[in-house]
Amino acid sequence: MNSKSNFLRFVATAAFALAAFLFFALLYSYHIYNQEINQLFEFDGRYIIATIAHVGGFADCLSRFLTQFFYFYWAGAFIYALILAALQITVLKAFSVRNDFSFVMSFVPSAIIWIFLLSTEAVLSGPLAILISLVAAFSVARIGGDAFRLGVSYALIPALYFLLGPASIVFAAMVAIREKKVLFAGLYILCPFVAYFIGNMPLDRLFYGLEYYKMHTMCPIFLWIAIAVIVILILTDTFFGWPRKRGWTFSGVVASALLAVLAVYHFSSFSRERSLKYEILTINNAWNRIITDAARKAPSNTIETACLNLALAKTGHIGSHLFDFQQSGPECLVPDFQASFLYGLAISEIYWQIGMTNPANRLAFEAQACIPDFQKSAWCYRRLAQTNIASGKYAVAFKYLTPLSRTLFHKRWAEEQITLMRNHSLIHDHPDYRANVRTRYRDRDYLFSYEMMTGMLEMNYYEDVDNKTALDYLLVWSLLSKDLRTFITYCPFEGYSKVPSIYQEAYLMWEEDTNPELNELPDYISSEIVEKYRNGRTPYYKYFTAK
Amino acid sequence: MMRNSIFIILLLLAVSCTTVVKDAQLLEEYPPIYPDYIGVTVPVGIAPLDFDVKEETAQSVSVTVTAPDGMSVTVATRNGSVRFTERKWARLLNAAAGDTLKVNVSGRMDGKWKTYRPFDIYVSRDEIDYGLCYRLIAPGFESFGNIGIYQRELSSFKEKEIVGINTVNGCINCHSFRMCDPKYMNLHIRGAHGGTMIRRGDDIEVFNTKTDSTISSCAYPYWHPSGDYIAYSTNMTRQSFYQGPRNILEVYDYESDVEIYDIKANRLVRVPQLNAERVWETFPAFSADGRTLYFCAADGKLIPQMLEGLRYNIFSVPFDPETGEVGSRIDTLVIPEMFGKSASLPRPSPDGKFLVYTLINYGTFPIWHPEAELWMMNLETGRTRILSEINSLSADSYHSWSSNGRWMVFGSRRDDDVYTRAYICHVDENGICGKPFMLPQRNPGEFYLAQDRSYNVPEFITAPVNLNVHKVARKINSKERCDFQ
Repeated sequence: MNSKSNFLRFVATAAFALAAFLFFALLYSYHIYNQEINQLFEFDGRYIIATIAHVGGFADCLSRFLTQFFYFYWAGAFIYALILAALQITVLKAFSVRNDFSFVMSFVPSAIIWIFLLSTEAVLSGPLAILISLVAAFSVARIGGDAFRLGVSYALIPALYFLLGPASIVFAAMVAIREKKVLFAGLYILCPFVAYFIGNMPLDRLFYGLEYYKMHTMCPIFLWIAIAVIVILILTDTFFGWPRKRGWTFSGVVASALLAVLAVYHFSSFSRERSLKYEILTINNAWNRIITDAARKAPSNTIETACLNLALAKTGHIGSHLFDFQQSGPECLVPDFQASFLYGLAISEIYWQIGMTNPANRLAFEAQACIPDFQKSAWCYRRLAQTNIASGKYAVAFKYLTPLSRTLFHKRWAEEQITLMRNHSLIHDHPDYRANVRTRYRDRDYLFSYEMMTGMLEMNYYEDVDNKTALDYLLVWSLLSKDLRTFITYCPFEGYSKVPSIYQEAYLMWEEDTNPELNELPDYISSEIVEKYRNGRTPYYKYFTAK
Repeated sequence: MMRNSIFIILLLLAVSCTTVVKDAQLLEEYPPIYPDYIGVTVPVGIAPLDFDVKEETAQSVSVTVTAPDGMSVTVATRNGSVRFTERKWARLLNAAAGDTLKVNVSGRMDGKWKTYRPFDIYVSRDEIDYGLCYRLIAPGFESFGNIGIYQRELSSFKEKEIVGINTVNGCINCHSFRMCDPKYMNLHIRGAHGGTMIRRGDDIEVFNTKTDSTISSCAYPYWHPSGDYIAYSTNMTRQSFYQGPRNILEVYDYESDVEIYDIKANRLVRVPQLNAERVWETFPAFSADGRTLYFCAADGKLIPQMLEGLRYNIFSVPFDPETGEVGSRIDTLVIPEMFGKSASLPRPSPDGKFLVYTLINYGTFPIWHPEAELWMMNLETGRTRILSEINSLSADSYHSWSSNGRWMVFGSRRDDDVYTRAYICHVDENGICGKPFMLPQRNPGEFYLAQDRSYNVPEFITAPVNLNVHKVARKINSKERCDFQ
């Protein structure tokens, strides 16, 4: 093999890695954030031991360790790209013959893993397990003495099964093929049965993997297709050999790349990516970014609209720009309870921002309980800590802050909250807590009822009339519910230096019933709005009269 | 040479780890320890009561536990975490059976030793059962997350999952045993694979407990002492969420009845006494002799509007185990409604002398009521009293008796108002309780801080629950169900 060919191969691998990096960084970055939000990695012996102490635990632990860096999307994209490129290189290294054809084929498992990683349920432990198994297999193959090599191989099969899970079949298969001993495969098959009889895990999961997929009850199909392809490629390499025709590199790479692009496009969900974007920007309070993005592409469902409406309220634009975007009812302001991970966290943010601490707490708790692989979420813990600090339940808040203080990227935040708890007088004026801390002094109590949202928003506002977001939510809720009777009770809209245009329009609609000529209107109603209203061009009128 | 060096290093390490309390100043107050084991009563066969000394300024801590015969164990620690070996602890308990252990705690602060007021741990001769069985569940609201039924050996720290979310895909609850006997077990599963597992010896069957005549599947089981019957209630349960700072959530019934399942005849006994119109009966429990059935009942109300007026009293009806017939006379035992309280979870003691129950301001589900308190009725005299010696300012609720009736385990949220922990107390023959102790753990401060699940429905078990998990999982995850008739 000449150096030119080597260079071309290097370029092809680098281009593949770069493509993966750019794809995840530019087109799938919220998927990366979502992975980080779904987990909590603690630098703590007890946590690490508990994570490792099951079949596939080492791969799981390593996966969690790497996923914490997804806090930065570019780091996540880099890790994805690195794993995919490393997998291609190790597959190639596992071949005894490395010609143009085998080089092109070495990309196939990585491309399948790429597709696997597009799922929000997919974690890194599966690809890492394959990678480590491959490295272990060709490392063992370099051991000189036959007896020693065979001994190490026998020992590594159960060890790798325990450390990496059933994806270690790659190791067992490679060793069995290379050594031409079926006994290795037999030994591997014994491992899940032994684990089954020792522990409580169901046999099927011991065969397809405990921690490769967040949804435990589902088999990670693409991961297993990749494993099957690797085994087939090794079999081909060992028993059949690769076609020797030259000139495969360029045309093969181009064809494979096109195929991979089509497959990745087909299995990507950009609508989900958009939903994730709204939810993640909401929990990060990136209000302006939400509005800018919504102006470019409008929200496509209730939750996205609710995130946008919160952003409008937080930036003081909800009363003037609400109907710049499609609204389909009051649930676009405060969606009903959702027992789901990300939706729950985003709706929790809405309640938190308007000062309704208990629903914020409840939704964060539910969101945490909905994580399919039962991991803890740093972001849920953050919200739970905040709601408990606001309610004065410091012991409970400390429970959530302690694991956060053992993380890499949430440690500082957690320590700030612990300091805050030690000086509780600071909490009342803290911008994050001001709207919610009054919960602890509430003497009236009532049961939450989504159907009685107007009443709850009213009580919420009257408990803190300085909370302008709460006032906006009360007014907009009644507007979206087409409940002008409630809306009008808040005239003359104290708290606004200039009454927002939509509120003025709604006022005119109410006034028109008794004052059809709209004469002698209050000072806060502008003549421009009156003119627009008379021309029937106001957005609220259109919303109100729409079926 | 090398060997000598190692020996010297080990010797130096040993010397440096030995803490000698010298010229200590005596303090008036008890040591700040977690969990609070000061003055508790424990059985001989309990795991070491490890504790943390919560004195941040202490550079080192020395604890000496002394038995009446002079035998003592000293533990020195730099991080305040006091840890006893199981062997030495067992020897101390044996030496102090029927008497007390004296515990001396000293801390070195600013280079000077201070000794706290010594405290006692009372060691009862009354035996305790093999272990506890409980459900670990996040104190969440609707989604159950990582849930499992566990057993814990009380003489050690060994905990083992019996059935978990990895085995059974659904919410697991209502584990119940016949007089603490693990060979007679009831387990309920909600969700896609819903059903009730009933184990009698080696016989395990999964039932569909919903019948055409009942309002829901069976819940809140209580075994008859003979093992031939299980009393259940069927409840239309909902939950709502408070907006105030203290209460979090309210679980309430819209309707409920009590039924008795005759296991041998596979027949659900429904009688008007336990299924009255506009009366909501719940939480059944058989007396120790099996001839009385206790239950709670309230007049139905418009819920949730009139929730705060919903109050349950405790009643009893005669039961004939030979025929499975329920007597017609209903006796009123406790009427907390009269003083604005509501009763739940009546649990008679195995000697038949006492009935312990929980009182709350209203409603039926005590664990979410911070005011929940345990009360005891002397069934011989009819007198009731609050168990102030074991109650706390937070919710003290689900309780159950040991097989000999000398110990009671209950759930309490006294730690932080949210997470339920298991507490065990001694109950003497006059119904007087000793100070309860929290279920011991290694490094309890760290353990309970990290434990983000509640100890739900703690029950004593006389032996390990030896279930073939895979067989149970197969039965539960299959569609085959035996229907209650």
